[in-house]
Amino acid sequence: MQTREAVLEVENLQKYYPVKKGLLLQREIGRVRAVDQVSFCLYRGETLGVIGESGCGKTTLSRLIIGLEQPTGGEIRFLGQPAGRRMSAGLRQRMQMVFQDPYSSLDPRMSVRRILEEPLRIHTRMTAKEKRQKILPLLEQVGLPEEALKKYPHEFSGGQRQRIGIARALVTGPDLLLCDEPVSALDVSIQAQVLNLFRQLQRRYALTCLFVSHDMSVIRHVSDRVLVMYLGQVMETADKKTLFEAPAHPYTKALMQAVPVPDPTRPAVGAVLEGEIPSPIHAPEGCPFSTRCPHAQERCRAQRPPLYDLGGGHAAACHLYAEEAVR
Amino acid sequence: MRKNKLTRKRWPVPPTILFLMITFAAIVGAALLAPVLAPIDLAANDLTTRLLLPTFRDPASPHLLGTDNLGRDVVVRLLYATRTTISISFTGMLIATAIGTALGVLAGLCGGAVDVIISFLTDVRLSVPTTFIGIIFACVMGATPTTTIVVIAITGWSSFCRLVRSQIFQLRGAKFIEASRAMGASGLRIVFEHILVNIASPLIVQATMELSGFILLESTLSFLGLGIQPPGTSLGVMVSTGRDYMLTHWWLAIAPSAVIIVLILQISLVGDWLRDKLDPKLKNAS
Amino acid sequence: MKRYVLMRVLKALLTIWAVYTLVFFLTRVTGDPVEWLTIAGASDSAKETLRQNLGLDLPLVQQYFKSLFGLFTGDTGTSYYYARSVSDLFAERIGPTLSLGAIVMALTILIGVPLGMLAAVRHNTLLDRGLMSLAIVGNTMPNFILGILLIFIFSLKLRALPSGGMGTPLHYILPVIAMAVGPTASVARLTRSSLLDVIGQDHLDCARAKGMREWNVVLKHGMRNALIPVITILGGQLSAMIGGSVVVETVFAWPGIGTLIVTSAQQRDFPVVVFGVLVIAASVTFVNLLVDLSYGLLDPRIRDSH
Repeated sequence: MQTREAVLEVENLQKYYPVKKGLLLQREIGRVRAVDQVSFCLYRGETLGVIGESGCGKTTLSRLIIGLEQPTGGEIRFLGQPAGRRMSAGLRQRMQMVFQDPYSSLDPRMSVRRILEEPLRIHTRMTAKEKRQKILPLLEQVGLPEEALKKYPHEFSGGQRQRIGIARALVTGPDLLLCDEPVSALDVSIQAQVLNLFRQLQRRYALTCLFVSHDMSVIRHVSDRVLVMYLGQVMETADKKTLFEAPAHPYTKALMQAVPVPDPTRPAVGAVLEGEIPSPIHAPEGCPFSTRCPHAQERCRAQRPPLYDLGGGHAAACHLYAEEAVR
Repeated sequence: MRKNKLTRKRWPVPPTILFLMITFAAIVGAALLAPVLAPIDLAANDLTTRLLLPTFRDPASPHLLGTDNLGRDVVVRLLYATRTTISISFTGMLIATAIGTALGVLAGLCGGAVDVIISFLTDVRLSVPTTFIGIIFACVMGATPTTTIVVIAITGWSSFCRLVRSQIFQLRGAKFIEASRAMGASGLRIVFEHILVNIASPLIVQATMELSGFILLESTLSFLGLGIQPPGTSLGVMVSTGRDYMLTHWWLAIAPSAVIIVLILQISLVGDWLRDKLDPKLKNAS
Repeated sequence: MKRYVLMRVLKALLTIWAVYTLVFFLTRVTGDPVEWLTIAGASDSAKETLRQNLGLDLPLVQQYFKSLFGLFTGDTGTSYYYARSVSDLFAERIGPTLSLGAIVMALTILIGVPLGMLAAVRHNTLLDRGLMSLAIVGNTMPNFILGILLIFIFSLKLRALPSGGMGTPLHYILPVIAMAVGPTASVARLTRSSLLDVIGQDHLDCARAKGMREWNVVLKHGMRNALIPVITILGGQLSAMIGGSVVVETVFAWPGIGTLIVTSAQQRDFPVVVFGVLVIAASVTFVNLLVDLSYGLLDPRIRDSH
């Protein structure tokens, strides 16, 4: 195996939100652990899918990486340099983001030309002609006609807007693309089109991506590796094939079974995930999944399981694998 | 059918509004061109021609609306008076908009102590009715056109400030601003590229609506003798002097009054229309 | 809730203090009042005596604290022109101003609110359009012009009503009309638009479905919710009304606070102007405070959120 270049390294990343009470003298009555001790590494040319239910901290994770929020602890390194809020401008233009909502993430008062040129205006001093030369091929890549440049966001459908959002993120030729649920606001039929476009661009530009989604089938479509999150913590990580064919963590298994399979011969599986997600303010002491896990034991409630390495880049945070783990 | 569609597209402005706009432009145009149309010395007077009857009373009279107590043609005086009133109110409006927007942006973006202080200043300003601010400043600075502009700016900024502040609070959560931050844009760039552009249309509506208030304020102050002073003239000054001749020469006070009412009506109706068109959200505000 | 009330009261007091301070220093930075109080060529010793009598020989900051603490002990200073205590001058004139204001306020509510309701219930009819057109005209009509028109028609032409001064109840009619038209029109417009917002809501449909009469529905369920914006604007209207009263009092030679302040301003009688602005700022702030606190009584949602 050749040595791969790590584009993004995240180590023990934490983001806690204090929960306060009182008008003037606020007391901290607890904290929400939005992201709790998350570590992973993203190599050049690969796409890491981050999956989890809403409120599991996957969006916070991407916001921490791009520097929209200040982490409580831990470290983010991008191209070997510290990243996050205090990123240098040079570093920042090499990391771009595609946002969830294509309706509100484009300024309604800006023409598409100005929207696409915004990263160039921020980071370069290009002439109008240079900027145009930069955005024209991208526009074609995302399948929009040149006339689109003069139009405004409201003249486009949701899918077209997200294409604009993707083109905007690619204008500076970033080393890392963060995608925060880029298709979840779109109709299912449009989702497929945008995802296919995304696959094309991935291959063409050899993109390095962090792709956040709550949708298993979307993650399956775009990722090389997958990170499963629950209540701010990493539950399992593996390459796509392993994860989908041989999931280890009970939570991952439950997620898989929740995906409808268009196969009437396959026996239906009953409701696997019973109970509610615990309130993140009162997260369980031990394994966060212990309140809903069918295999939960005493140990799970008392002690938080580390990520046990199962070999071949597969790791799961579950005490069931304490013995199997490769040491 | 097709023709109908075309005409509708070419005339997005309803005919009444168009009429109001055209007449307003005509009045303002004539007023601004007053020195060209009728070059006179404002201070000159001719007591031999004082209080001549208007054409509708005496068909032989060359003065359409007669002459005033100092023998000057009322129509010409009206042109000059409208010119003063419009230019003072408009200048005041521009300054008020600039101050209010700057403070509103500051309050909306900085938040915290800056916001508290600016909100407090707004409260202080609003606790004194506009007329009284005019009175204080006329009393302190003397009654001059500059004073009136200062008064308009000082009374007017608060509503712009409130508007801009609340708009920014709404915008601050907008994803496109977050996107811009994620791209690495500085705060100043976000203000100029995104925020000012997005608050422009409610701001224009507000400025239009306020302009009619400023015309009223200028006229009121001049009427009270705290604004423009003779021999300078403004619509308020003309109403004030005409008032003494109400019994015999009522048109001396009524003509400038009518101009004031027409201007205010035109501006507020067009403002109402603009507000509904540009910003349906604001429909029920104030 | 208790803490909220306390904070609001403190803020109101702070506002009034800030107004007083600003106006005090504004009126003192423009020069020596003694210069325009004495005739040209007055001897220096005469000026000096006057300066001492008016307390203008003290340093500015000392003058400020003296007059600020004077307010708490009931010493409001002495008018330059009338050579009398400022509070005495105001005491004489507050009656006419308040009686005028009270009548205008009452009429504004008693006429404006029902007219607005009528227009809302008869939405989009000829009556609605007519009332609203009238309201727009009433709103744009400057009160000094309205005052002059009223004098022209009722005093000069018809000789039916007195054109100025105060004495008989008849003297009230014209100034009250001149002052009340604008605020009444605003209140009517606002009542209509806020009622129209409420009228379409589900809980009113529910009341209608139960067979209540339309007027009953509007009165019992609509008005309670529609009143909040109306009350808000009444606070602002009061401020506009006080400002307008100056003009109307001047037009009708009404012996109230408004005329006192305008003539004092023209004569640069600073103690009167400063105290007048203080009184007005205090009343506007106080009414706005009451308006803020009364939201809670009308809307339980706001009440509970504090």
